[in-house]
Amino acid sequence: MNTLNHDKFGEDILQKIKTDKIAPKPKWFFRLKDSLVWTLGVFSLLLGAIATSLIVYFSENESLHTYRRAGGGLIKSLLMMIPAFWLICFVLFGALVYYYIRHTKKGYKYSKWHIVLMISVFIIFLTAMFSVSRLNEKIEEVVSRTAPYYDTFINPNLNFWSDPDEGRLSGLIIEKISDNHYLLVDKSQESWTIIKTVVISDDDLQIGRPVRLLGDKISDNEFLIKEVLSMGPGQGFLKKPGGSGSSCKFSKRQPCPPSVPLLLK
Amino acid sequence: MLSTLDINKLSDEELVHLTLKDQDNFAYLINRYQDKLFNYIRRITNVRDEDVQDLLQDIFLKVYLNLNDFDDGLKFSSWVYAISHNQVISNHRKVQARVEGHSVPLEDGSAKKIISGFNIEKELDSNYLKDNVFKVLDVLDKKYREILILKFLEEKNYQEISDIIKKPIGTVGSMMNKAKKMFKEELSRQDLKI
Repeated sequence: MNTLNHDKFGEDILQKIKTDKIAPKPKWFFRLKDSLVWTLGVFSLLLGAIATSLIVYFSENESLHTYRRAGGGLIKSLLMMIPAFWLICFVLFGALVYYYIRHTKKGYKYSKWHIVLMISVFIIFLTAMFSVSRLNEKIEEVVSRTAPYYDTFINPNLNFWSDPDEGRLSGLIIEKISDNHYLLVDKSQESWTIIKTVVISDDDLQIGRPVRLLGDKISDNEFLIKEVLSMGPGQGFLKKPGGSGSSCKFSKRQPCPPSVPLLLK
Repeated sequence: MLSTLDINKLSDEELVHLTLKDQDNFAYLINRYQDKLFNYIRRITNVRDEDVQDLLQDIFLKVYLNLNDFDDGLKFSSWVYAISHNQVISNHRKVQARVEGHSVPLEDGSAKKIISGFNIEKELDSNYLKDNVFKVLDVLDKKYREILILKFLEEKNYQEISDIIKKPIGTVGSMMNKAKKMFKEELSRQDLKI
């Protein structure tokens, strides 16, 4: 049976409230808490949508056919087409949005699938907006220019395209030396003389343009171009001063420039 | 101070507003809910009565602290039960004790409330049920036991249960079906043993 001493129990609680000077938390405290949960939820949703729009951007610029032509095996090529970093970000931020929605005051009223559907609709809408406005490209450029270890974690495919011995070279065209000779700086700030064959148009080799090249390495710093491919993600990485290397290795042909973009002016 | 007649006329929500103006009015809310919550906690935990009192005290202090968070769109009783539900879980984590049924003997009325929801009265002897319903509840998984207790002993509807255990109403419905099924299975299992 109930062993509660009714009168004493209530009195004890009121006494404790008075003795310990306990007061109800103010309304603003709860409003702030709710606002914080909503803000974090919206912020995670935006980051999730950015991650998805970057997955779209990566997918638009990669094709299995290109990787196969560049000498990648089928499995390796398929794996390289998966933008793993952005997929992880998408899953992480998607999970955070779910968590925050669940922790809003009325979040428990919605079923798991209802919330997942709501998140999906918002992410698809925002992804479409970011892609149509090309905001995803701009974000990728900023990320590739500023993020540390970009070529290690975010876009390791850059390393696949920096293997001249295997006939793949990527970098930024910085100078036209003669009709058929151009100067290119690769991701390690190594300079290369790239030699154009008749099948290559001058339009494909514009100064300041990051490119991926298929061809043959003909000497330590010379590369014969067979095909020019446009550079999708990673453009900012190739344009940034200093590249990924810790020291400038530009000295073989000319002194190290203070900043590669300066040469483009 | 309010007269007993006045207090009985007031809704829980009105008492909340009065408590925010004068803390002494909190006594009326305590008085209204102490027995209900005491029984609820006893039914869903395996702690001793003295510990139930401590838990209950913590619950009322938490209710008082969070009065400004009470949303008028919710029933006050659901809100208080939700706080109790959370406090029991939090206490369970703290003491690392299993949240288990207390084997609280049920009064005639309670046993009837449970079995009336199952359409099994005709199949079983009512005296048997009166003596054994709590034993059946005891062996059920805690989440199913709690949902049955809320529905049949605390007499909460699906919406209120949803607000208390913080699950969507559809989930409450499917949990209830599963709980009933498990209850019936356990009942048959125990019946076979006797």
